[in-house]
Amino acid sequence: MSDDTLLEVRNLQTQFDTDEGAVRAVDGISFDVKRGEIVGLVGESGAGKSVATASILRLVDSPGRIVGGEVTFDGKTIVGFEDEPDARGNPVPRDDMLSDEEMRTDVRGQEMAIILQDPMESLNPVFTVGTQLKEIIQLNRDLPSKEAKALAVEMLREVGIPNAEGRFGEYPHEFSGGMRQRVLIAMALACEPSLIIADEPTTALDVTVEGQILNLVSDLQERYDTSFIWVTHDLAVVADICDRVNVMYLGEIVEQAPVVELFYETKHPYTQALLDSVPRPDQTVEELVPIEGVMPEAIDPPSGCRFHTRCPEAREVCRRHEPELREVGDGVTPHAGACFRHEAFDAGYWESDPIETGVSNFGDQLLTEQEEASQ
Amino acid sequence: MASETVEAEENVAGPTFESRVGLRHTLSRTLENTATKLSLAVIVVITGTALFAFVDAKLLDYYIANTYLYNPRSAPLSSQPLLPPVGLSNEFGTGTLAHPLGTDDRGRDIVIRLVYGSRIAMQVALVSTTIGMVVGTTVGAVAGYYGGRVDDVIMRLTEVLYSIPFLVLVIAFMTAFGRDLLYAMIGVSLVSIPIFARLIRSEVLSVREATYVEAAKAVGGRDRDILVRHVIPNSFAPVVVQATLQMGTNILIVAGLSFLGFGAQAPIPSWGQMLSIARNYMLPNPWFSIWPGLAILVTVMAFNIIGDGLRDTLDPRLKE
Repeated sequence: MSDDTLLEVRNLQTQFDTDEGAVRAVDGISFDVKRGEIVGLVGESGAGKSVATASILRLVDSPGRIVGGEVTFDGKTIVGFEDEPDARGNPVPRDDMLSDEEMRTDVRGQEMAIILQDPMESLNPVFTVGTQLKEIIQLNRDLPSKEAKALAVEMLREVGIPNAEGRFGEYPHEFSGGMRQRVLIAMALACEPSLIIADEPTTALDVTVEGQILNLVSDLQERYDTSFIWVTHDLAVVADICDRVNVMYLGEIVEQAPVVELFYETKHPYTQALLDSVPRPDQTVEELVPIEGVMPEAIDPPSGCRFHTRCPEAREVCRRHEPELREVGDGVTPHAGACFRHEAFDAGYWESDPIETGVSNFGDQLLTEQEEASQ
Repeated sequence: MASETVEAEENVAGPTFESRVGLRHTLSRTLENTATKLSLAVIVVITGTALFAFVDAKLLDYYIANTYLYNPRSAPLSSQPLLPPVGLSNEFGTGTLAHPLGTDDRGRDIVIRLVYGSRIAMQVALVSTTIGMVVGTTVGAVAGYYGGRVDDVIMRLTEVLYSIPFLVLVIAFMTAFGRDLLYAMIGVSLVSIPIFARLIRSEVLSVREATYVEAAKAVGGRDRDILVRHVIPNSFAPVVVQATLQMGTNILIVAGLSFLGFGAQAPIPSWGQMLSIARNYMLPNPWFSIWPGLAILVTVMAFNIIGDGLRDTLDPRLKE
């Protein structure tokens, strides 16, 4: 692990044990977060983004559990297992893996913080905003009440809340969505963690407020030199804020690249499909192309490449073999992708027969019908 | 800094449904209803009366009653028993203003007995409900929050309590420990523990999944603190409603116990015991049993109406 790498995730696997079988929500993802970097985690709903972040914080609730892989954070082993499972096939935690208590006291809040998706629900409605912020500060720092309060007010001011002194004593329902998200950012920053996980923090906000929050985060990130994992499904946000991006599909990372590279040298059909499905300021298209079909259930993932059921480029080989994440870039910028179409794989993609992906052109039909109706 | 952009984002939090938090708001909304307002007035008056009786009985040893009023425990030999209320007459005489509601079988003034009996009623309402609420809420919240084995053990135990008929439970308890008002109150609180436990548990089950609980965990909060600071306060509204209703129920249970000879012991006046005595004179002198019955009815009803009023304010599902 190089010095400037803060978080290293290797082959992380988290599954949910259900009556129907194990749902592998996160199935062997690997990525790094360097110091002072904003790393994006992009994907549709259900891709496993939130479970991945919960796993990094070790906050996966039963029936979910981390079943494999390694997470190293700033020299500490957050997740780590012995090579051999126990007699019943369950993974055995390594000795150097932090205990639950150590996770709570030394990592969460102190070193890692999370900004949750819904600012409306993330604050306790029965206490004032200030009390909650102060509580977090006192929980993680040994400060007397007065200083904690002063710091809390300072933090509120820092995230751009006007009249911070006065608003300290107000309840969450007296704040607008954007203001609440600012409060949550203040809470995450309060203990100056080295990594903040932002789990779709702007999804619930309207675009203007989203813009303000993104600016605020950029400013604060530069000032505090905090690293971020930015979970989102919004590629516009990714383009705006992230340094590097991981694209997730059905529990796996399918493409990993610096942000500019990802947008202009797209290597995976799924990323391409995502890009084609949203309007872009740099390209003019007649029509947006949606991704056909829905993401399959993680309990029974498709064979081979998991995207082959919806992939316009799918061929026979995609159904039979599963591509792993490989270096597919030009050799200058690191760029990893998991698609047989690239030379790095040499799996006989181009010789293979194209397959009918089974997705109907329902959307197109609908459009044509509408056009006919309007004429 | 983003402060220059902030003006555009003027805070526009209006009176959303969430502004139901806050004690003052809850109270003012609850009191919009006339029946609730009246009931609250009734409870305030009875509480005041009970407080007065408590001070006089416990601290001044009936000094005020003996000096300025009648002794609620014993009457002088000269006083006429079973005197009817003012304006009515029976074979013992005609009611006088000196005893506006009449006298009992030993010639004790009924008004003063009712006043001093209110002390027992309110004491029972407060003490037994508080014990039941505190214990029930604690075990129920712990069961709901931790779940799994803890939940199973606690809830099965409370169900055992629940399955025993309450009168049998309380009488067995008092037979074991003594026929004292204190044990009556503890016995009654035992009855209400499972009610509170089940109520808050169901609420905790949903609140523990709330985002702010997750957020509290993510900043390294202790489970115990999360339970006390985040989960219980947000699950407490139905408990408040239940506690109010339970006060009425507990008064009724203890009155029933006193009627059966458990509970407050003579000569300390209590409403249930007054009823019990009055039963012997029911046919010729019905007013004798009407007064304590009325006192119980009014008090219990007032508690119930307040409870209903609170529920209307606190339960978002009942809102239009």
